[in-house]
Amino acid sequence: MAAAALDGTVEALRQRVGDSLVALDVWESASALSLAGFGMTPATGPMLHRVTEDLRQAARLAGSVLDDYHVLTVAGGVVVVVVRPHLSGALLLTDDAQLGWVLSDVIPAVRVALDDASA
Amino acid sequence: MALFRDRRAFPRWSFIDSRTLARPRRAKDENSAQSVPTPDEPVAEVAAAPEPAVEAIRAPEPITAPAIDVVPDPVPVRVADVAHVSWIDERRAWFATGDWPTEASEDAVQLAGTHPDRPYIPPVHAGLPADSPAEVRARHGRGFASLTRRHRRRRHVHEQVQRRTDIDLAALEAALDSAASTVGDGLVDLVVWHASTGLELASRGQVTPEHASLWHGATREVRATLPHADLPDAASYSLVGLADRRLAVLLHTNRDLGACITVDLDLVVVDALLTTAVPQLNAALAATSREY
Repeated sequence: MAAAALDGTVEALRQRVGDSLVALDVWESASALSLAGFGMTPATGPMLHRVTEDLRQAARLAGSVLDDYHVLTVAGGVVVVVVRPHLSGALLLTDDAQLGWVLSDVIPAVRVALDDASA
Repeated sequence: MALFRDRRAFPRWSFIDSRTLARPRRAKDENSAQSVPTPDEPVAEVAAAPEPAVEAIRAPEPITAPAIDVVPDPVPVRVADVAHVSWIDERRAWFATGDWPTEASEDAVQLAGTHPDRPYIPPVHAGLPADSPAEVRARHGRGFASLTRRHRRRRHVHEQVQRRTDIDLAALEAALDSAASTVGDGLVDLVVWHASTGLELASRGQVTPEHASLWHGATREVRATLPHADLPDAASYSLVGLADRRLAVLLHTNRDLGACITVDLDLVVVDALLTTAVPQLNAALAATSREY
């Protein structure tokens, strides 16, 4: 995948989410290697990838199947993680972001953007 | 060597050679000192065994089978009667007489309050006692300061103070009932666990026994991983999207309790859930645990 396409995806998500977006990171789902983004350190992608795997295993053992997203509320903000087959992304939003809007608007937009970038 | 209480006099502890202790008669070994008298064992004077009488063999008579006389068992002739000393009975009898000392004798004071090599030099300042502190302590005792003062034990550097918490299970059940009524039909399941052990405390819906421990472990992993991801510390809850449009809300109520509430997104409005039901459940759960 081209780096220019990833940069275009990042910029499109920034414009879509607006001022609530503080940081964004896109990494490869298989290797957790960070590919593009801003405002996050190189450790963020691998660590969130590990968190996702932990949640996936817990859900599987509990008799459920993890969907492709989870939202972590942190001090002063919200971390939205979207995991797609090829690319995964994490968005750090401010705490004034409505979670209903995040679930209904932001996460579908991230899904589409990641799928378009990996196509 | 073994430590035993010597019951013959005032209670004291003394080292006694274990070889001198009473042991079963058949369990003799080469290390046992036969000549050492056992203090607690009745002394038995054993009669000398008679010499086996063997008649002289006369030559002209035919030799027959030798007659072997059976050596008789040693029969104790006299057993010294050692009176059984009951230390408790002895103390009771002494207490009944009422003549026990109520104050230190002068000899005891002098023995405890004087040093054989370094005599006490009384201070020259007026108003101070002329007796040495050791003598005063021997005469009047140590007082009750050590009993009334609250000792604050110095804890080890790495020692963690064990927290003692009391969880009101009845209030917990009431909190779950309230949350279930608030969420309504969209509630799939609800489970509350002990945050230290991951054990399930209460639940609603179809919850397997390992449900609580699994989500408990995942919550711990998430909270432990976030600082390594250079992200802020985790707040009170997390949302995990599940298949079939279900949403699991992982609650970290406090150090004692955690919870997972799973809802159906087709029947529940997320904003109402996160602004009403989840804060109410969080507050109700926090009120059930109390540190004492």
